[in-house]
Amino acid sequence: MVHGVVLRVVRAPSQAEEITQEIYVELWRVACRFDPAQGSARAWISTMSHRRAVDRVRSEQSRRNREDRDANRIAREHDSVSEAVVDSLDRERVVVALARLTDVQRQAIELAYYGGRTYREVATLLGIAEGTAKTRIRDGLIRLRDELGVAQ
Amino acid sequence: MSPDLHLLAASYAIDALDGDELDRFEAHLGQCDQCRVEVAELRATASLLAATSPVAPRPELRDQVMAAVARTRQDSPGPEIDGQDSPEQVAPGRNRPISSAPFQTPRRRTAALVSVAAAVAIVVGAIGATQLGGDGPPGVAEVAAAADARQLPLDGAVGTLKVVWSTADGQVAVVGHGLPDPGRGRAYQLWLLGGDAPLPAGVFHPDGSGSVEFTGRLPGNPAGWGVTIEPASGSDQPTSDIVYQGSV
Repeated sequence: MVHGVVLRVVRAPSQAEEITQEIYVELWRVACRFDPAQGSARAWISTMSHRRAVDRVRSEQSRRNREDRDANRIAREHDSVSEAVVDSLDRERVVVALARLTDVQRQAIELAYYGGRTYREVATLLGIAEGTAKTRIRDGLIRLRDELGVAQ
Repeated sequence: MSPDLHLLAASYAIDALDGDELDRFEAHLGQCDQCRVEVAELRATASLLAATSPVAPRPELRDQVMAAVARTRQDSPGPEIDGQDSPEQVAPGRNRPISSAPFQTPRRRTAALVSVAAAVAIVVGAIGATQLGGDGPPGVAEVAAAADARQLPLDGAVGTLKVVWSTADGQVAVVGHGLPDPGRGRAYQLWLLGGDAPLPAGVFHPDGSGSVEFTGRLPGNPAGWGVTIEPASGSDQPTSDIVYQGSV
């Protein structure tokens, strides 16, 4: 899961491995801070992984190049989610839940979560108002939460 | 508080905030129970999005990680050591709490201490999960990937539970969500149905969010599967009613 998330966000395999290793070592170092009362280990690990990957991407000078390429990639990223989702049972559930989102909700969440972008960047990429991007991310995630039954 | 800030919880949960807005939301999070719950739930949701990316790294990475871990000292759980650090769940490299409860009470510190062993097991498990076909039990995905793997969703009143098994590999796996807590000192037990008597096929316990992933040895050739609630150590024969079941 760690490597998969990092690779999705940073895209470069060698960089993804480096960050993955850093995350595992960091998890090892701070493992004692994990508190099961505050959420599952999976949520803890995936939150760390995603955040570390996003931090790396955002600090990269190359981001402008990334953004230039993005306009063409939006449609393809959409497909890549379905392709990546092949053989795990969890993935089946997630795909079903993702399919129940509206197209614009799904697109906003994919750009933000898998693309590691802020909601403002999502708005710019899609040419929509920032408030609209924020709302699509929120409505979509809440819908996913309800579909996947993860409410507390 | 500003209703605008509440609306940022979802973006925060998937790291889609930055700059001043991130700082303002984190300040708000310390005072808003509603947002803390929403962030925790949406992070748990996002962790399932992460499950759609199970790309295993090269096996060599595991050796590198294990070597690096051997050189790395673990932080102590308490904040007393350096006075600066706090025991909350911190995102590496960013010094921001990723906990949904940024302020822990002393009672919580004890809980954090108690969880050390569990957390280490989790991390080692996370590392182990990256290896392909090493020693140790296979993961659910590996069982499901067997050429002859079969899947059967079980019927039950609450939640979802699916059994996956491979006769060729002699493995069975269970994956479930939304399972009720079986109660103190109790666990779920999987039974292979079809012979003269149900065969025990493993004991599993859902995590705090009701999710479970379990793999074990396949004890026979199933005509059906059943799940009962048993003492945590498991039973030789079912001692309670079946709560999930399905026929092959």
